Amino acid sequence: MSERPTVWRAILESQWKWTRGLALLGALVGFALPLLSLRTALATQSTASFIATMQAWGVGYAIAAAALGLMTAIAAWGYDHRLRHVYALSLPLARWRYVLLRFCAGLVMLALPVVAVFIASEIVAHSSMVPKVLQAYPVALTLRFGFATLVAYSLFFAISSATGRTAGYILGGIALIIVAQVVISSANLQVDLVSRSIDLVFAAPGLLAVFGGRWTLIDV
Amino acid sequence: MTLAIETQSLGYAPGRGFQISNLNMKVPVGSLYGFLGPNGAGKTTTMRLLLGLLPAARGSITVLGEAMPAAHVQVMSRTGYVPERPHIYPTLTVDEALRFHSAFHPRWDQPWAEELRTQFNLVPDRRVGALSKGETGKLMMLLALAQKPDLLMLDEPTDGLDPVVRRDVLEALLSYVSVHQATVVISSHLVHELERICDWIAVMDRGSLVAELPMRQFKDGIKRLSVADAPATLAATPFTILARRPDNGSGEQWLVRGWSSDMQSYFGAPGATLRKIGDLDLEDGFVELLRSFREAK
Amino acid sequence: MSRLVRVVVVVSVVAMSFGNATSAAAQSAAEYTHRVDSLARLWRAATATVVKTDASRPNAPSADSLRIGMIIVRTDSEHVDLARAAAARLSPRIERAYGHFAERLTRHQFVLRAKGGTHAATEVQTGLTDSTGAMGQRSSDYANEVSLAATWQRMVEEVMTDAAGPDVRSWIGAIIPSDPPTKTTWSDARIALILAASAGARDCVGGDIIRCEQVLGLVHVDDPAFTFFDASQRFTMIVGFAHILRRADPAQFDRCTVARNQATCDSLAHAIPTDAVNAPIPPLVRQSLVRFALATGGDGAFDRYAAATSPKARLEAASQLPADSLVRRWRDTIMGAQKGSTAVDLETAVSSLAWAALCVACAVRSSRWR
Repeated sequence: MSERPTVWRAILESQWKWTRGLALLGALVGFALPLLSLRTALATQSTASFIATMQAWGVGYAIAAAALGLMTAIAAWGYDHRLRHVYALSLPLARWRYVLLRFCAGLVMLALPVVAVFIASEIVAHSSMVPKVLQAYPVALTLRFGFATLVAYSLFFAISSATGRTAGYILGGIALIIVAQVVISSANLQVDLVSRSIDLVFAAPGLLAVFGGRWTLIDV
Repeated sequence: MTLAIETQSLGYAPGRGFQISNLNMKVPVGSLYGFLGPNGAGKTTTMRLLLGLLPAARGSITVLGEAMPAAHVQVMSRTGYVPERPHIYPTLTVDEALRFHSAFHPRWDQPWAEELRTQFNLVPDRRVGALSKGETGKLMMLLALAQKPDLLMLDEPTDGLDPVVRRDVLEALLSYVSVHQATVVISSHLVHELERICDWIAVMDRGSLVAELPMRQFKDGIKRLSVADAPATLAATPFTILARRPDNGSGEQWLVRGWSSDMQSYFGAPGATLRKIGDLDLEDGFVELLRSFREAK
Repeated sequence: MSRLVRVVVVVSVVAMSFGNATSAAAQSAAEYTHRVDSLARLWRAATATVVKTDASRPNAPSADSLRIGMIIVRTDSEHVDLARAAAARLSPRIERAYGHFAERLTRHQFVLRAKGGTHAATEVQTGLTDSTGAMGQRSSDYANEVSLAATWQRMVEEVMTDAAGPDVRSWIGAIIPSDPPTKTTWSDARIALILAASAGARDCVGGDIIRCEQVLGLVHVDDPAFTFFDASQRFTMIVGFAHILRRADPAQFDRCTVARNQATCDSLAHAIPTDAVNAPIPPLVRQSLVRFALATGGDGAFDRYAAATSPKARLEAASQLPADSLVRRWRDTIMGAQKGSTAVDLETAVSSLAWAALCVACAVRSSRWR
């Protein structure tokens, strides 16, 4: 065995072992999305439908960001949950430091797909096949993808780190809104709780505001 | 007597009818402290409380001179822990597990870790999850020892291991202890094993400490007496009678605790006659002690 | 009867088209345009006959009339409440959009009748009579005030656009909507302007106000093919008119399209009639300019718009601004109205970081005891 690693290095190496497949798959998806979107958009007949096709592919980025965030968070805590956190708690490391190091290790894993999105977006942006009247937004798209992945990962990391009871509270809260909406609707009251709750979450400065907006690599 | 571990009025009540109440435990520095008790007695729970893995409801815990769980980081850097169930990440290889563990322990002894790994025949690139039960047990002991701890907390470390592996593990443990004067708290069902290696013994049952004393004192102090003509009601005895049973129609068998040889004079007075003094091994003594404790409750 | 007339008209038009095809070999672009206009006149006449035929039918018995604001409705007794509710919903929108000019609407009547057949319970027949009393527009609609008011609103927009002037609709290429413009209006116009396939539109996007006035049709342009379009766009236009230009002079056509002789292509481009040249911008763009002028002009804007006679004068009257100032402001408004952006704005970026930090804080505080 080589020289004794640092604590950060040890956590990073263990996290890499658990999430490398996911990180590489995410990088592949992140690289493919811009290229596939351009390919399908070039098959359209008009500039307007070109834009519409690029917009349609935008959903893929949002889904990829959410999925990567979720799965990386689950992977970060998976083995600790399985082992009931005995090993982690028995290490001579303050709990808050351990949690923070695990979080940061996950961020490092997520950097791969974000970089892949940027590289592929730049390739598309410099493609000669893009209609000259349109503009490419590779940096903007990459930043949005990065922020979305960060938010999704942070949210699911927090839920994953909590006890089952906490997750139950969250799900219970969501279920309560739905049940309340059903009751309100059956009383013929014109109150849309579900839509308002969704607006609260998806409109700035809501938790998932970054998932709203445009995810278009090439636009007017 | 300097203590490595001390608890005062320690209490823990997770519900489901089980609780640890008023636990006063004293583990001397440098002792090999055997922790005996039936299943569900609270041994594992007590160990987790001592290491700050569970929150105590009442009382105080001092480990290596530091209050727990406040000084968790300092204490765990000097403590090697082998839990009841394997706690190493199963996807890591043996080598990776050593590397990971070493990162957290500044006193990690890499050459000795390698020596132990070879001694235990652990293949470096074999996944932890693919190791046999014995190999996993050896790996956990290796990790605990290689970090050069002042305190070793071993929760049934040889449970389920074959005799050869058990011997290897205990030899490594004793070898370390003999050189480094570490304190060892070891819980086990294998009474004979504890009898061989421990110099202190504690017996726990249903969340309470039944007995805590040097091994020699425990073994010497528990005797089986053959007594004739014993009255139904006895005057105050200098020893503790754990049990009185008929002895095949010829008197009674008394199981006593706290016996010393000068107590034979008790039987000089009119009444009971002492016919024979018999020794009990640790297991018998443990069983009888528990039985009397439960009957008293 | 009316259905039979429609069929006859369609058959006539188709027959004429086939007949014309045999003699198309020798026709020029002007001849072609003339024939198209003839067919269009024939179609309009036939449609008017259909309308008159319908109007002359006996009306349904027991019709009630009601008036709310400038809206007059003639309805059967079964739908009085519906008519009143729809009219009450529509009336404020009309007055807000047209001001005093809305009085013109009193020359028309909305008609509301039951619809027979299987949809009698959920649908109605409605229409709007013109100033002669003939049913000018007709439609089937759902029998609810929201849907009916929306249908009537579209009908009003048709009528009011035509009432504003005989050339308004043809100049804009569309009707003038009555709803107040929103950010979506400007962003849609922005996209339409940017995507317009003309060099003139591109220059307008780039900030050349004079070019904007040209593509918007506010200043006269002698040679639109050369003013609005670059060489490659003219080439595309020439190819689009191949069925006329090639027949007229195959050699010249091939010199342009095959040999790519620029001088020949320019000559062919000059041969395209002015009114046959592609529009440099889609109707949505001019429509947005008109809506901008009306919105800028405030009260009485539509009255002033209708009172003027030329497109430029109308816009200046409505907005009470000189044309170049109006165009400049309009251009700035639509170019600044990008509906959303891929770029993450500062508020969203900061809130995302804050939420992430909050989540991490919650994770850090998670119970260390399991």
